[in-house]
Amino acid sequence: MAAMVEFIGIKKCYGNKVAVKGLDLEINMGEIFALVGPNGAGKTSSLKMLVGLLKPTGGQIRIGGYDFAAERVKAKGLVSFVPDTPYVYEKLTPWELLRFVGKLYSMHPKVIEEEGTMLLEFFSLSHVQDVLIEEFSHGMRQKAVLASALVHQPKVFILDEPMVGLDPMSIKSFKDFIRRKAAEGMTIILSTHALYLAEELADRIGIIHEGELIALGSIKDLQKKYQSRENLENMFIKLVETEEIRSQKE
Amino acid sequence: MDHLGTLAGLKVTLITNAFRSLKKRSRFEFMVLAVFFVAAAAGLYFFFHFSFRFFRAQEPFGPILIDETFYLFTFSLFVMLLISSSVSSYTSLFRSREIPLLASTPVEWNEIYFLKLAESLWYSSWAFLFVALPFVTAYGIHKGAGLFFPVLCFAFFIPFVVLTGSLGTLLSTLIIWFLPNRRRRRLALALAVTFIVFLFVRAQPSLIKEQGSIAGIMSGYLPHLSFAKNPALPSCWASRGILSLATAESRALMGWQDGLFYFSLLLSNALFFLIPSYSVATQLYSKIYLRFQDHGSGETARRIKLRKGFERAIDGLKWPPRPVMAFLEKDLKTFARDPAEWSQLIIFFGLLLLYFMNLRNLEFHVLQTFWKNVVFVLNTIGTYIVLSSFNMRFVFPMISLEGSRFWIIDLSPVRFSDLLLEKLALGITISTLLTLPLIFLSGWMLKIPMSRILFTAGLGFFVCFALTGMSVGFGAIFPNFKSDNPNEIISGFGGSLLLVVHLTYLAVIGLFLMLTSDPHALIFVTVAMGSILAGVYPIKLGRAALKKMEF
Repeated sequence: MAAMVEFIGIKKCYGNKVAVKGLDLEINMGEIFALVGPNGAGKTSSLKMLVGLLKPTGGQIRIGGYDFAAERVKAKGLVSFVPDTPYVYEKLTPWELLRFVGKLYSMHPKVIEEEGTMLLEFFSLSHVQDVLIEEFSHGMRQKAVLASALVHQPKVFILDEPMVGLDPMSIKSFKDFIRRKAAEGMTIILSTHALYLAEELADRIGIIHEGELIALGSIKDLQKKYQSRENLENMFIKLVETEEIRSQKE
Repeated sequence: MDHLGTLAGLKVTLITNAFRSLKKRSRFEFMVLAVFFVAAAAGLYFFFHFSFRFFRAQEPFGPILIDETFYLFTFSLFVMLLISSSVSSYTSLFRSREIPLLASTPVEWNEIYFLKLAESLWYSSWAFLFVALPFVTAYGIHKGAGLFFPVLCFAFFIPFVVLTGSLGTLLSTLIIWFLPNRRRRRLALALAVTFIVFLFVRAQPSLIKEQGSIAGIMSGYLPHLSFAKNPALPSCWASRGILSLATAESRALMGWQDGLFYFSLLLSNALFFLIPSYSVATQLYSKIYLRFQDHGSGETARRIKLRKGFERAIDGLKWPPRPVMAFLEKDLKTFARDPAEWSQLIIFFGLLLLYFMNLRNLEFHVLQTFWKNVVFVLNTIGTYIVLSSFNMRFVFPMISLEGSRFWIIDLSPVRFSDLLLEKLALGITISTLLTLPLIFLSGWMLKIPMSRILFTAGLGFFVCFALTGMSVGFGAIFPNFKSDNPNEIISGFGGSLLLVVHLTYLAVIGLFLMLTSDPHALIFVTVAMGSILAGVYPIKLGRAALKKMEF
């Protein structure tokens, strides 16, 4: 399978603190990849470097074959990012938000209309498509943000804590949607603390701790490698505890 | 620059929708705000109108003085726009939450820079337009140019604002590029301010030659106002251009060419300064922004020591109760960690300090007693107006900024009255520390009798009480828990109403001060009692409003 996203020796330092220590990772086209780890492990830093919101201290990022540093705009055209606390224009309606994002990606108005209508229906926002977002509940805002992030049909969809605020029905349909999009070839990268979600959705899981990728593989690979029959949650806790003891000894 | 059109379209939609959502507000709110704006504009207009009439009556300097006033006005506008655009561009270029959204799309960094430059031009200039319009209308009428004058000024105002705003934005961006370390930036700012103070003090010669008449006083001052006519200043180009086109007489005297020349000079410079802006936007902006995201490795050892000392001091206090103390500690830390916002206040209070320190250089202290008292009262009211803006910006939004967490307060063992009293005590302490030394300094520099200084400073404490009490009370009566942006909270109905109440109260205080040439106990007690009532009553209403609220 072709690698859609490549982290090649990516390093990120904040002053003296090393947040990401030489990350090497390939994520394939159509793959659902989950990045999990304790708070401050380097997940959000890695995702932000992937969309150009942070500059790597060292290493290279490639998206769809484009070197991010050299061909930024082309690389960004393939990506969509929903951060954990997304900014949303309160004084826009969901429809206006979709139109705006679509135009930023130079989409034809007709295509924006087709995709937008489909997404608004999917996220059950059609009946409020002309209501200002400032009047929405948290969950509805999240839906509007997700819809706007998908309007330009990105090749790589990056989500930081994607299900926060969504109701159970929406979570179920969004999970189905993600699976369907991955089957169509969209690469999905999600960072989450909800380990059940990673276990349920992801083809591969990367566990990051203190800026290092300490485990990588499908849930079955991880169970096999660590000779464990436990679920991801227990495996994750044991792995992180072992790493902490190891780093204390060092 | 493919996306600038889309981004401009976005901003137009946002403004249109903001107006659309205004329709949902009650008619009463609209009426109150409309009446206030019309009354404030009319008040300013009449103030300028009577000032010009007074100036014109001072033969033989009247007409000269009116022209000098216009140069001084545009010069002040230039300086204030420069400061205001530098500060607002810092916030909009580096701290706006919109930037990560745009930067993760194919929008180029230089497009974001120009979008934020336009925003910063708008934010830094619209308020000045509000003050400028009554001034230029009154001025136009006095010059015999009628209503053509404001239109002419507006035409010059556009390139003037673009030029000044581009300069201010460039300045703040380059300062952040060359001085990325916040501590060094503060040191550089302190050095720059010290240098300006030094120049200002050195540049003030003995001014007043003869003070038997206004003409005599003016003959001392007029030569020293010429700095505003320096031909290198954009404000001077704007003034010369506007004045040469203002009336048929001036057009006949100087010709259309003069006016057009100065307009072209402003316009070409405004356009020229977009070139370095473009270079900065393309070459530096993304680097600076990304460097800003690289937050440091935490607090320095010195800061930790300071913070721990502060926490120990707070823990050592026996009163007020711990939950209230928790809010006090949080509010103080939040205030101290918001330098982008309070730096503007430091500038305004700093300018007042600078001016008061120079009162003797300006030789105001040798004026006749009547004029010294007028200057003292005006200085005091000026200080209160800056204090009012402090209360509007920091005290009024305090309750709203508790935001969606407010239900925690509702559940916690803190009475609303305790919470409001904590905000009041904090506000009064800071207000008093900022204001009273300034009033004292102003009086001392003017050689006002000590009894009058103490009288005014004593009343000043009650004015601080009233302004803070009103701000806390109105903040509780009209909270906006949806927003975490203080500017948005202030611009709501509650904030606008508070501004009206503050200004009305200060007008009354100004009248009292003006009319009482001698300190009098009865007046003191009346103003003090009135101020206590003005501060306490809104707090009572605020407490009742919070009790009724559902979260």
